[in-house]
Amino acid sequence: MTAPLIALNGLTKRYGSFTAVDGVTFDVPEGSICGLLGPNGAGKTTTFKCMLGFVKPSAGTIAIAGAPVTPATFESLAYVPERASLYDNLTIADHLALYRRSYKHFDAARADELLALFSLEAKQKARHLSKGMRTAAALVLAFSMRPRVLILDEPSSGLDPIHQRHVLDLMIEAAANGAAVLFSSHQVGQVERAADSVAIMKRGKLIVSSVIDDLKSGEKIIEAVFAGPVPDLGDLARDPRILRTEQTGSLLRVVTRDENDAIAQRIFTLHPKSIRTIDLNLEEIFMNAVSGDQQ
Amino acid sequence: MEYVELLRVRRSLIWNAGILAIVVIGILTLGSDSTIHVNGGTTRIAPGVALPAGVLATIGAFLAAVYASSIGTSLNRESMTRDISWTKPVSRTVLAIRFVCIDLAGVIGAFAFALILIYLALSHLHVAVVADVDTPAQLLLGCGVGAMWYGLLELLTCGFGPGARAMSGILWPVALVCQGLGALGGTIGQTIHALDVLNPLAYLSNIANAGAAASAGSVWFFALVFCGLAVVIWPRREA
Repeated sequence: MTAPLIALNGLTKRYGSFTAVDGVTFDVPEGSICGLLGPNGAGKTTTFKCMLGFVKPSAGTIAIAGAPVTPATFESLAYVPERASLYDNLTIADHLALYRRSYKHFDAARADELLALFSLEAKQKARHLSKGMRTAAALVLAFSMRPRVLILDEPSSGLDPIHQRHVLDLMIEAAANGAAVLFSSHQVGQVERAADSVAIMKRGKLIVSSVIDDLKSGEKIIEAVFAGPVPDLGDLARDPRILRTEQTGSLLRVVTRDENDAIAQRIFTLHPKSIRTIDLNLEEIFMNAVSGDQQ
Repeated sequence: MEYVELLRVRRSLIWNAGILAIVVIGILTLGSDSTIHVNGGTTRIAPGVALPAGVLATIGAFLAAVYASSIGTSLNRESMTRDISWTKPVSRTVLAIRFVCIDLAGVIGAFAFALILIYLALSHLHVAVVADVDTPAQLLLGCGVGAMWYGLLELLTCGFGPGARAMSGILWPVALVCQGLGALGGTIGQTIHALDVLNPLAYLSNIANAGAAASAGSVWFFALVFCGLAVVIWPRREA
């Protein structure tokens, strides 16, 4: 495993008696992408704000490339907020000029490529851009910096599906070039497609942090279809190896963590018409994590 | 970003200069016969009339304060785009200092432009501007009033959200009312009069009077203190 470019250790942020972020610990190694998932109000954006120094953490540490965040950190760190901040009176070209003056590694040729990719015109004033175009402009600025660390808060917000795909491709390309990418999204499919690892937050706490493949291999869904309504499961429902059960008409879905075959055997004794074991997708993992009381 | 602030100050200076030039040209065109119309009567300005430079500095100070109102919320405004400015490889304190320096240069520029324009207008009306030994202090005080107004606005707004920008408009009547109340007697009047030391407009009447040098020291002291406090407060605010 390579050294983490982003490392959070016990990060906590309290506003009075309310704890917005509660002891969050995870890291993102170089050359990898971490998707941060969580329902609204889970603390994702506050975590980002702490990482960027916009708010002062109540406890815990943040290290970028092994060091605390200082102004020099931002030479190699790019951030795209959920609502892209741009100077309304300036054109996209003015913003590019601004970034060229501010960052040593700013790549003007790359910026031109990205403008074309997102169908943006450099002479457009920021105040005339739609929400999606503002997001696209912020992405152009961020990726033109050739950063080693990318923090993206809902980076595909307002973008059409084609440009959403471009964002994922850019993240994957950046990671392939050695960058660490941390991004939040409400679209689990995007995280599943782009990310190597996932961190799931709920009510300020980190409830899942793992490599996605490990998560998928650990949990399975056993799906059984009965001729009539799903029969009484009896003791099976209380089996500690079962994480969650769902019943819809004649369909029974059982999410298990271990010994899937043994559970499937027990369901088989209920005489289903058919039964199969399928891999859990990230959406199921996310739903399991945020709907239960799993810590 | 200081580059953005440079553009903002340049744009506001152009607007300020344009409006001032139009007003002055308008007055000169309408009053090209060197007359002033007051309450239906007409007073002719006699060629060779002399005007103390302190009066010129007072008008310049007022116009510099008006200009300062247009740029005095720059740190507050920059907080709205902090996702850009706070993620630059430069410390926020340094950024704030650069902002304040650019803005103060703008205020000085607006004051100087106002003086030049009024001087040219008066020359056109054959009114001589008379300088004396107090003139440098008067000019320093006049410019300082604009700088103090700027600093006060920056200090009052730097720690708050976008609504705080309304302060640039509200501060004018507040300052004028406070100055008026300071003339009242009694404890309230005396208290307000004492607080007027923090009111830039209270120094306007001192410009053309004796003691401009002492007042100039005060306004620049407060201008720098206000700006310094804003520079300390702004980087510490949380998003």
